[in-house]
Amino acid sequence: MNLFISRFRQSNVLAVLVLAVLVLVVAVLVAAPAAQATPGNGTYMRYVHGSQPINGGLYLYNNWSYSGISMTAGSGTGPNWNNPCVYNEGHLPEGWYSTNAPYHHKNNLDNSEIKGRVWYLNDKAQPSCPTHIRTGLFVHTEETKTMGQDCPTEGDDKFCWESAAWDYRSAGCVKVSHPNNGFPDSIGVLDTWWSNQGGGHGVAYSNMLCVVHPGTCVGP
Amino acid sequence: MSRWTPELAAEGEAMGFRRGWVLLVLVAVGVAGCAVPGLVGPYAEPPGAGSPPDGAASSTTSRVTAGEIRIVEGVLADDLGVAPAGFTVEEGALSVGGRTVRLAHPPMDALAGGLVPEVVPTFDGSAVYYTMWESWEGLDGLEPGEIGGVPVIRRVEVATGADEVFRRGSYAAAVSVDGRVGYVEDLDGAYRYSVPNPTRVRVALPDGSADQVWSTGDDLRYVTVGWAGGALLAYQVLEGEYPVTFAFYGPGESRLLSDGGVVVAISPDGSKALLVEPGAIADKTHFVVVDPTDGSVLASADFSTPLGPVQGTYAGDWVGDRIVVGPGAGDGDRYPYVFGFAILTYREGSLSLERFVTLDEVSGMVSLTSPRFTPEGNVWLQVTVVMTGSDSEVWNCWEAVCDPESGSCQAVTLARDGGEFAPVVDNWSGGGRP
Repeated sequence: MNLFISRFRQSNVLAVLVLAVLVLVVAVLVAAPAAQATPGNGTYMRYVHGSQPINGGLYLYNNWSYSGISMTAGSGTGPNWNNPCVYNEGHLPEGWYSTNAPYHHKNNLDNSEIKGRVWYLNDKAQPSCPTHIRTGLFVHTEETKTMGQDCPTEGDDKFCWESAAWDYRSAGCVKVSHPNNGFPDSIGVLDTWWSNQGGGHGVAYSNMLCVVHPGTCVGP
Repeated sequence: MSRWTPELAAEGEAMGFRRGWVLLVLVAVGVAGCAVPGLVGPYAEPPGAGSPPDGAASSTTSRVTAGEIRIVEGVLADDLGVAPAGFTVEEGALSVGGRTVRLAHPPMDALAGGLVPEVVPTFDGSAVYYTMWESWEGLDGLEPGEIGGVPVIRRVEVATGADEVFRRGSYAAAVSVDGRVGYVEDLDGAYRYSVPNPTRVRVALPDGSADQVWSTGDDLRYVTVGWAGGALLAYQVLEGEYPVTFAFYGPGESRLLSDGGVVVAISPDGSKALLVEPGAIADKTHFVVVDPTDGSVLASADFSTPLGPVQGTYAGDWVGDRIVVGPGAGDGDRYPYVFGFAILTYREGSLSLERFVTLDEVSGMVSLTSPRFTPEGNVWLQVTVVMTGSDSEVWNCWEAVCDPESGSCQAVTLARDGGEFAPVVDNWSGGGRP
């Protein structure tokens, strides 16, 4: 009887040990891809222009593979939206972007024109107009500092996502929707994806956004 | 010294100017999407519908002409006329007041992003100011905070050809009728990559003396636009390239003219400025005529066409009672954007749409910029076309002149892939053009 109990205890201990090792292995396996896919290391947003400034697409890549996550996004405004040499109207110049100081990625920006969840980007010029430097560019939505909505008028409010026609357009930034008025929570999905891939706040990440005409992003 | 006028520009050295175009087309000095010029010129007004004198907004529907751009070889037909202010041509030569001026360096856009001209003649035609870069090697490989280049304003004496530094670490010269030079000075003396590059608005006499700071604060970025009489207009550029337009009157004296708006054109007497603003409805642009001396709204209007709302932006032109505005119409949603230009008229507190000409005929066209009236009343403009090959893109810049009645345009190549053309725009005001 004692022998039986002793063997039972031994096998129990063994089982616990095996289980612990399994848990550890699983934890390592689960954690490893996130570590490898830190934004900028093959994990990036890819913006592709549409036929109009309001119907581009933002595609999310993990470790150089499409994650299956995409969202409608916009950049540029007015008839000149498709020329990135045109300041205040054209979409972002093409190429790779890094997050930029002082904000990098921030969830509670409180500027006069742009608030809430943002990715602040480096300066960039289209190769065809190298001295037309575009500055102060973001990936963002229209929301308040606390990720809410401020919609005081019937018209287009700066911190309110009212409509596709109004709000995907920008002076040069990339904009995605806020879950107001039944729109998809694209900014939330983007922020969650960023966090899940190890993206932090206020930290520099190189090559976290690629802007292209329809086509692929070749590694930087 | 002869006074610089469009007529003089078209005469005298005009032949040389045109020979320059021919050479340019033949030699095809490389590059780039067109430089995007700035604005400003004179103004006017017509009969018909428009906004009431109290400034209340109105919306009008007007006739649309379907224009067509025809590419021609060599030069444009003589009877179409040329832009009253031209572009630097072969080897940096340009025509000012009947004289050919050669610039010692290629003009280049500094940090104004095309919002303002790169080359500015003085009102009397005696000098030219232009912006160029020293130590410019592009942005590639720069780390945030590293110097990317030093913008420099140079001054050229037309009579002697003397070409000297006016201000280093500065850009966006704007010359008033009385010769005062407004400009912005980078507080750090150079462009630093991917960090804020705040500027001060300064005003100096032509010899550089009596240089005063007119703006306040050391953490803002301004870009000087042009003079409306004694008021120096400037943009404060916020993050997201958001513009705020101010009028400066002296050291520490300024007034907000528009939050989010940009300047389309300034009246020839400097008493009015046409601005275009996002408007309460974001798919429309809102046109506003303001008095720069007190910021009061003299007229305002939105304009609709069967192709959607008229869209306006900076770098239009105002001659007599007519104002030409680009780059087209549409809202990017129900009405896809189309390229074209609108001719507005301003008279006695009323702003109205005379006609809209659409030019959405060219494959690969990505922008229409800087529409300006020719002395013949036609419309000169710049068009950028991207030709996509199997694995590359070529950005070509055309100049086109359009007859607004028929919509018929002729276009020639201004620059092919590799070259950048610097706009020369008269941004003085007050009797500049009738």
